[in-house]
Amino acid sequence: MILNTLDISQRLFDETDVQKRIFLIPAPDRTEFEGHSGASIDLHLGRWFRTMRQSNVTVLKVGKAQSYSGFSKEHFVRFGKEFILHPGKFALGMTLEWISFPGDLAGHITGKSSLGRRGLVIETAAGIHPGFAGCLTLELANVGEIPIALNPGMEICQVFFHKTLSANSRATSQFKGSRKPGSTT
Amino acid sequence: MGNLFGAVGKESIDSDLEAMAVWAESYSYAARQLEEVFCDCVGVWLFGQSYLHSFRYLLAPDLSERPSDNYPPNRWRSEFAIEAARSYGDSADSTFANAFRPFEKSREKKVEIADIVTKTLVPKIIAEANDFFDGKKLTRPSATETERCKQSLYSLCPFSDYESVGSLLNAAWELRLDLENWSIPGVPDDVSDEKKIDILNDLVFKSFEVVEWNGLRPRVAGNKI
Repeated sequence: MILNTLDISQRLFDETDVQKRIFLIPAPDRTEFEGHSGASIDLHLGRWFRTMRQSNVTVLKVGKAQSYSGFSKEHFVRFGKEFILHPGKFALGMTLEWISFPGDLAGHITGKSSLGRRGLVIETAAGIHPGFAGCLTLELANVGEIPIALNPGMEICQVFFHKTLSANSRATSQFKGSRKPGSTT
Repeated sequence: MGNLFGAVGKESIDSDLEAMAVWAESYSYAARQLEEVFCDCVGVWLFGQSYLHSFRYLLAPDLSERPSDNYPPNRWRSEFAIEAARSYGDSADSTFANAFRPFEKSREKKVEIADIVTKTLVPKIIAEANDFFDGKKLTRPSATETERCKQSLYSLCPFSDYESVGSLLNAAWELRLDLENWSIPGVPDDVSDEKKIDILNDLVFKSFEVVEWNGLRPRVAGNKI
């Protein structure tokens, strides 16, 4: 069962049941959010990015975790400035929002059609498990023909929430995501 | 003091050029030292306990020699900071200053004079720093707000709805000093303290970022493709 805007709003702003709350920081303006008729919430782009750089690494062994700090680079972009994603390039980004899922909700993150039409892919590993807490990592790729300017703070993606059939009390607010794209594959 | 100022008496100490040349140096040391004390008082006023914790974290155990005569000895600074904290209504750990090596005596008489002047004027500087914030519309950290921040951080949520940044920092320091009892959901119990500190840092920096964002939001949020 997917939550609509009013369901999401209740989970965001109703403080009576902490176990069922979605914590979203910064939170949207309640009145403005409830004025939407959809079934998702828009998230904004954060300020930290990580890109691959030219290196002598011949193969990425994705079967095991490995640090790629040696062939990737972290970037910080201030609010009001741009991060340019060139055609064919890939970068990790983060949502500005820190989100915490209760034990009875899962979710998925997806791009916005306005960005997709310009060739920007937002995410491939889109599932979010109950109990997730942290910022969401974005796998940004420009599959279009023209460089895309990304501004920290812009609306970048949307999250849909799914009610699970039963709640997992052990899954409440488990730390998963930091505020920067990690340096480990 | 006779050997320092020669035959100059008290009545001519501020008109005799030779005497002035000597005590002008002491004056300069004292002025610089009092600036440091004032800044410490400002830090204590703004950030409360977290300023003391940071002070100890960065400067203790003070194994080196006194780095500069323009600063009061760290042991004294820590004692002054405690005095300021108490004056501003905070409870302060009386053993705080023990983290620093006791200060014995300055090498030079000119500096010793400055040290005495500094010590004498500390209560006045503490009051001056307090007065400095009059009408500045700044809020001191409070125990209530610190507890709210701490509960939020405990539940892995950044906290941006604070009136005093000191409350958030105090909460973070309380967690930082009690890592052993901070069980983080989703993180194994035997995780290293470094990992816990990384998570805590993330929560605190994200809180700051959200505050910054909320201030810039009307201008930046218009950036849509």
